[in-house]
Amino acid sequence: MATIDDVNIAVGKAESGEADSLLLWILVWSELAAFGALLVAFMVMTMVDGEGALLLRSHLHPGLAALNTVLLVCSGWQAALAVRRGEGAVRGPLVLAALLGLAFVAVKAVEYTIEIRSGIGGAGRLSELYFLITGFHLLHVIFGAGILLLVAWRPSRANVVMIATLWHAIDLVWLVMFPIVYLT
Amino acid sequence: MTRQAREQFIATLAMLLTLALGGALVGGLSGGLLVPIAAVLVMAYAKGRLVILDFMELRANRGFMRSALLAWPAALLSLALARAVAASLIG
Repeated sequence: MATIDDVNIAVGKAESGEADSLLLWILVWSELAAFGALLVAFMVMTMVDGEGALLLRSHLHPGLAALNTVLLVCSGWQAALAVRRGEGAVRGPLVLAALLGLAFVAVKAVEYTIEIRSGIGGAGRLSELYFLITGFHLLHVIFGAGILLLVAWRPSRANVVMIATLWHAIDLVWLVMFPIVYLT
Repeated sequence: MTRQAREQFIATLAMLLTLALGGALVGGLSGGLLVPIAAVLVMAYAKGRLVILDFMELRANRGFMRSALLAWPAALLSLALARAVAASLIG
């Protein structure tokens, strides 16, 4: 049973930002766990269905994915710059990070269009899994870019750190996903 | 940010971009061979490590979170390497 002291400690932690930090890391790890499970499923599927994996790879465009890696790395760099700048002058890096994220979305949309027109659906369940993994990540990028713009509009130190950390987690997921899905 | 920190921060970006382009190039030319695939996976880990240590500012941190975050890409990329080794052995 919680005592008054326990409640006071929890309130103190919340006020000092420790509770926010815990919530942030829970969110980051839920993302990493979800994408980890999806990527393991993708690797298992490519082992089980070798022909489907070859067919899927023949429809993918690693060049566009590499361009997206560059965009996301530059975006993450801008987000990290915003954290280092502290309270002042964070709007520029945050907006630029969001715009680079939206450029990632545009390139991915072009890539999806080319892949669908070339008949990627012929790869069966592997193509479904491909769209599930990359589409789920794409939704995170769209959502993250929106939050970056919101934080840029009304910046506070805690919010800048929170969205930058989440953005880096999204970046990290792509860096691991890229070789697994496109290159190996 | 001090000048040294700024230079280190720019160097991190340069390394990340070099690894990203190098990884894509090696991966594109690998032709399914094991050694280039292993190189691509190692480069991917190096990129992830730079993001975790320098962008997330965990380089000075020696706690559990840093180790756990570094273990996440290491585990997945090791699995990818094991898959590539198995595929080359099976043919």
